[in-house]
Formats: sequence, C-alpha cells, structure tokens
Amino acid sequence: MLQDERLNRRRFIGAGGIALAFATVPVSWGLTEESLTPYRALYDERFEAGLAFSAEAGHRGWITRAIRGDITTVWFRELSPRWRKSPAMITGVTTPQTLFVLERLAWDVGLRVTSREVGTTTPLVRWVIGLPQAQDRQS
Amino acid sequence: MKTPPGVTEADFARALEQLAAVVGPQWVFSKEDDVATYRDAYSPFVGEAEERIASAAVAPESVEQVQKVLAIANRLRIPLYTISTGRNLAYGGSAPAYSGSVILDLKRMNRVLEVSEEYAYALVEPGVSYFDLYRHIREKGLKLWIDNPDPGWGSLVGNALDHGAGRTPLPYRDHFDAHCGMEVVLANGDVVRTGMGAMPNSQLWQQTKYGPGPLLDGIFSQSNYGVVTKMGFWLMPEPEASMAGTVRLRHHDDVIAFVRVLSSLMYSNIVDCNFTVASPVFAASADADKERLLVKNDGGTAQEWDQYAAARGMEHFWETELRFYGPPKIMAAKWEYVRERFARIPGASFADGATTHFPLTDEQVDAITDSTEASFYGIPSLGVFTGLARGELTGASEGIEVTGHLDASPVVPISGEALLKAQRVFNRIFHEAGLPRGLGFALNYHWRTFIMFQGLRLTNDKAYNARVRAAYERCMQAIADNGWGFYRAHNAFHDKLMGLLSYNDHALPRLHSVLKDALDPNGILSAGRYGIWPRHLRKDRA
Repeated sequence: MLQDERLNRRRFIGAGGIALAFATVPVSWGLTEESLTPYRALYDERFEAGLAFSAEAGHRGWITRAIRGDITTVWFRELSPRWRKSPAMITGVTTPQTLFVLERLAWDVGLRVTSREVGTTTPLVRWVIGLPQAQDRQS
Repeated sequence: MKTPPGVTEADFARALEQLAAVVGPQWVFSKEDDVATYRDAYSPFVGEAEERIASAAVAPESVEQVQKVLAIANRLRIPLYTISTGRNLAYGGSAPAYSGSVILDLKRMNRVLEVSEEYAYALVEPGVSYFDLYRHIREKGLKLWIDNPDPGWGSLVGNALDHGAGRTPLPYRDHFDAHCGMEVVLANGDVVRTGMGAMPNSQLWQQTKYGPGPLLDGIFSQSNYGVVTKMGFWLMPEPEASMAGTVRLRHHDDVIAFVRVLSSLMYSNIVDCNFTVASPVFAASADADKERLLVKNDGGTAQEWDQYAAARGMEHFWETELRFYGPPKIMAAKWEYVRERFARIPGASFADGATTHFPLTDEQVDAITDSTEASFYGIPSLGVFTGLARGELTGASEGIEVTGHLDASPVVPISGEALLKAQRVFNRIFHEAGLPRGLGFALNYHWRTFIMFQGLRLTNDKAYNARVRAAYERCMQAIADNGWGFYRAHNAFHDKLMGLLSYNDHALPRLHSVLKDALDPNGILSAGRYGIWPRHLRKDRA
C-alpha cells in the first residue's frame, strides 16, 4: 500500500512546472487509489501559481473552483453540503490563510491536511485535504 | 498521552473507556494528532509551557449523552472544558482555560430544532453554526434574518454565551440580549430550562424571557456553571430594504458634538444600526509628523491635528456610515431627520449610499465579497479569517511572521471625549511596547457603549509574544483605571480580568465562587473559565 501511495503521489504532482514552485515539506500523503480524483480543486486566481495549478487540474479532468482568498461561496454551496454526506478529498493551491480556514472546517468531519507544500517562488501553498488513514498506514 | 492534573493514568484510561461506551469510540479523541486540533491557533503562549492544552476530547450527540459524560467526570474527577464549535479565535479558541482538561465538544449537537416564521425565533443546539441556521432559513424560504458575527463559522450558542455581536439592528445583533430561553445540564446531571421553559408544554419559552422567580440565564454566560444544550433566539423579520448614508465631519473636535447627536439618535431608536466612528486621518498610513504628534504626552492637540489634516488635503476628520432597514419611505424619513440633526454641526456633510432590496438571490449573495457588508445583511462569511494577516510580517524592523492575534476589547462610554481619551491611552501603551497600533475607530456592538478593538498580532517568537502579553495586560489595567469596561478576553487572561472586579473586596468574584461550589462541587466544568475556579483549585491561586 505504501508503494501505491507513493506512486499516486508522483502521478498527482506530475512533472509539470507547477511542482517546481513548491518545496515539499515532510508530511504524509493522503491520496489513495480510490480517492485519486479530488471532489474539488481550488485555486487562487490572483496568483500565477494558482492559474497554473488550475490548468494542470483541468487537464486531469478535475472540477476546479476559482477563489480570491475567501472560500465562503465554495464552502457554502459545495463543500459543506458534500462533507455533510461524507468526507471527500479536496486539493488546491491557495494562500496559507485560506488553508488555515479550510483545515479547521475539515477537522470537523474528520479530514486532515495530508499534504502541505510551501511555495518557494510563490506565497501560495499546495495542499491536499483527505482522510488521515493514509498517514496511519505510513507510520 | 497527556493526563489531566490530579488524575491517575489508570483513572484516566478508565474514564476514556467509559466515555467511549457512552458516545462511541470514534467520538473520544486521545491520539496526539486528534487532540492537537483543539489547540488554540492564536495562543499567546504558543510553544511555551503555559500554553493551555487539552488531554483529550469527547463529543456527545444528545442531552442524555452529556448527562452520562458528566456522571463519569464526577465519578473519576475528570476536568471537562465545554466548547460549542470552538471558533472563538483570539479569545481562546477550543483550548481549555485549565490545561489538561478534556474538551467536551458539542459539535455533534447541531440540530436546528425549531424555526418559527410567525413568531420570529429559532431554537438551536450548541453545535449549530451561523451557516447552519442561515442555510436552514434560505432552504425553507423563510422571511427571517439571522444576525452573525463577521466570521460565520461559530456557534450561535457559544457566541451568545460569550456576549458576541453582529451588525444588524438592535436588539438582534447583541446575541445574548437576543436570546430567549435556554436548556442547561447542570454538573449533577439535572436538566433545567429557564424562563417559561420551566413549565411543561409552554407556548412561550422562546417568546418571553420572563418567568416566575429569578432570571437565571445570565449566570450561564461567560461562566462554567452548566452545559447549555439549547438556546432560543429572536430573529429579525426580513426587511423590505436597507439603505446607507454617510455623515462626515471636518475637524478633530467635531467628534464630540457628533457622538452626542449620534448617541441621542440611538437612545431614541432612530438609529439602531451597527456603526463605526472612523477617522480617515488617523487611519491613513503613518508618517513622521503623525508619529511626532502621537508620541506627545497629550497625543497632539486638536489644532495640531487639524493642521496635520489640512496640510495633506484631507477634508474630513471623521466619518460614519449609518444603515437603515425597513420600508423605503420610512428609511428615507429617518435619514432626512438624521441629516437635519447633524447639519447643525458646522461643516457636516452627507453622502447617500445604495439601497438594497430583499430578498437577495443566490447570485446577489455570492457577489458580496466583503464579509462586513455581508454581516449587515445577516449573511455569514469566512472572509474575515482568510483576510487576516496570518503569514505576514510584524514590521520591517523585526520581520517576524504573524501567526494570529489577540483582541483587547475595551468598552468605553459613547462619547467623543471618551473615544479620544481611549485612543490616547491605548496608543501610549502600544507605543511604549513597540507594537503597531490601531487608531481612530469605535463601533457600537451593544446598547449605549463603544467597543474600541485593540488588535495585537501574535507570532511564534516567544520574546515578541511576551511583549504582546504585557501590552495586553496593560490594556486591561488601563481599562480598569479609567473605569471603562470589558467585552470579553482571551482565556489566558481571565484571572487577571476577574481580579480587576475588586469592589468591596472582590465581592462579585466571591459570589461566583459560592455559586461554583454549590452548582459544581467537584469542579468538573470548565475550570478557570472567566476566572471561576472550583474550590480545590482556588487554593493554589490564593
């Protein structure tokens, strides 16, 4: 399983230019084969790194949502109703402030930030919020 | 695994086992990763031994489960700390006042029990957030508004119990004042309903605050005498429209006449909106001349400030936006009268704002990107926390990453003189502490007072945070020295806060202790919240 998750991670990040803007910090990865497609991919459209991520996510067929810092609308209209039914993995490239808010909302339904990559040439963070089981399996 | 103070590892393990049997093992959290989610993200003691950290958490889903949790805590002397949604960042978040407590997390009790459009009220459980009630009302198409604080992810119950407020007209924006009836589980497991809720089959529990005998609701706010499991709230019927108008004044000392008229209009119920008395001059970026005035002992004279503003071509020293709600012709009449009153102040000028008609479509709601504007319409938002300065730097000279903030929240008399004096007092404290200051704004959350928030940024730097804590305590002392008041405080400072209530040898805090000992003799509920400690822990603090 561990090998599969690492494979998934490479597939997720890909070799695109967007990955070069982020230095991966040593946190566990939350993707599993069955949850490889995120429910939503959020990007902050005010930043080039966000737009680049959107293009990459669109190429992979993920449903993307543009934000400008605040995630109220996507939270209220989509994430909250979805998470009330069951936790679902999401990913994004946003500011740390946006992730700060999302992370706390995710905790309420048992989700965790399973990957957090700090930008090296951008103020943004690339992250995955998913179920924490993958972390347990890796430890 | 951290163990609560005074509890053996064996007893704690037994407690966790028994709690799991009550709520289900998946709702007892003792793993480090899970417990970490209850840390205060804005702790002024982050990374220090004094940081308040929970030992575990338990999340019941019903009153019956709460009763059983309290029984276990009584039996094994487990200290609990109750939270609703734990979102009161800057005031302690979901972290306990007494380190090692087990968090009693009520987030699963998230049912909207009743909403009456006819009588304009809601009855909710503590895990219901402003978003939850807003969604319920929108989905059912009810002609009602909620009132929410700027961040809408918190609990109606938790915010009201902490005296929180929003931005729609009074009485709705004063959340404790707008509540009507509560249900409380006492430490001994008794379930009490206040007001007419004490009478079975009452039709008026959410309609009248009065019932025979003493009104007890207040003792459950900013306290630890019970676990509030239901609260009723009066809701505002959706108005036809809202319009805004701005009043501007030219000179520094105009604020005195300005606030005198404004308060008179408020006491007369002609102005019932949330407003901020703001100063474009003070709010503008600092320069050398401004710094020179600010550090003077008198904070700069009125003449000096007027000269400062004139030299920069700033035509208005003060401005306030007022909002009116209701039928357009009534709003227009009010605004006309308000203009007449302010026009007696030489140089006063006015600007008509936009009129918004309700209900708003989903598209109109989504188009509101400013969280403060959303709050004026009872629309919850997350914008305020995504807009805060987390990740920014404290200042060019230090460049320490900001991780959060504290709010010193002084309540001052609603007068121009008090506003100016408070500004001078807090400016001096911040200047001497070498911290950035906030200047020139006062807002009216509650009836008949101003709140002048003093935001203090926190970091992960211990020395910087020590300066922030010292400044926070100086603010508290200055509030007491000037006879002003307190809105709420971070739970790391509750002892200091309550120590300032020293009239007649601290008679009020002593009464709090009497009540605590009577209602919670084993001291299991939220020890230390608002400086109220059970007997066995008071000895250590004498």
